Amino acid sequence: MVLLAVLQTRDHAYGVSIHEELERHTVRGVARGAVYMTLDRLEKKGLLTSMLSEPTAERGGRATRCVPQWTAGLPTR
Amino acid sequence: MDSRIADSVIGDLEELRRRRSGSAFRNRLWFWTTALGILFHAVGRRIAAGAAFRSPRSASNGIGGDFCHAVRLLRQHPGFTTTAMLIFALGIGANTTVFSVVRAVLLRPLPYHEPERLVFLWNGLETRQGSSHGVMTGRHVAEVGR
Repeated sequence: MVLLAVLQTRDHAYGVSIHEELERHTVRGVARGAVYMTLDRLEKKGLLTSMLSEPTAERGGRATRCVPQWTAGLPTR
Repeated sequence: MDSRIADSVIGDLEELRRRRSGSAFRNRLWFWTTALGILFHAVGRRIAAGAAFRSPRSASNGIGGDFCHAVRLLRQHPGFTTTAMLIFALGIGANTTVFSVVRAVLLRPLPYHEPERLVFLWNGLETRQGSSHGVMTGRHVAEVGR
């Protein structure tokens, strides 16, 4: 489901948008921790790649962990 | 989760906190409870992964897996969880109260010097009509001693 949510969010998949997408398509709430842990596991399995963007002020000077859509579901190694 | 990814998760929460309406205190409370929720989730996953006994039938068996399963079931049945927690709270409260009384009345020594030397003195009066007994006060003891 997380992979599908990454594909749905198209060009701007990151923690917040993936979580919002999942909650929009499921009838119950989704734990944020579950989303981040799943992204972590999928990346370790090589099913997606994430990259950190430049830090921005609206995020308190922190980077965004973006997941490019083209990497989702494709073995990266 | 390495530190850069943890930093990006905090960034996500910061972004959401700034988007939220409502008082600053409530938003800050939301931020910290959500961050703690994510942290507990990560720790739970790590425990589940570390404590899993790799049996041939199922790789997800184990103490950690059982714990996660139990938490998930409890979250799915809030009525049962609330009732169980109330019963636990009542049981613990009643137990604590009884132990406090027993400790104060039976176990703790009296707050006097050499409490084992304290005595009760009674006096009795035997008559044809019957007998009567009463506790002797300090004044009675002094009169008897004279």
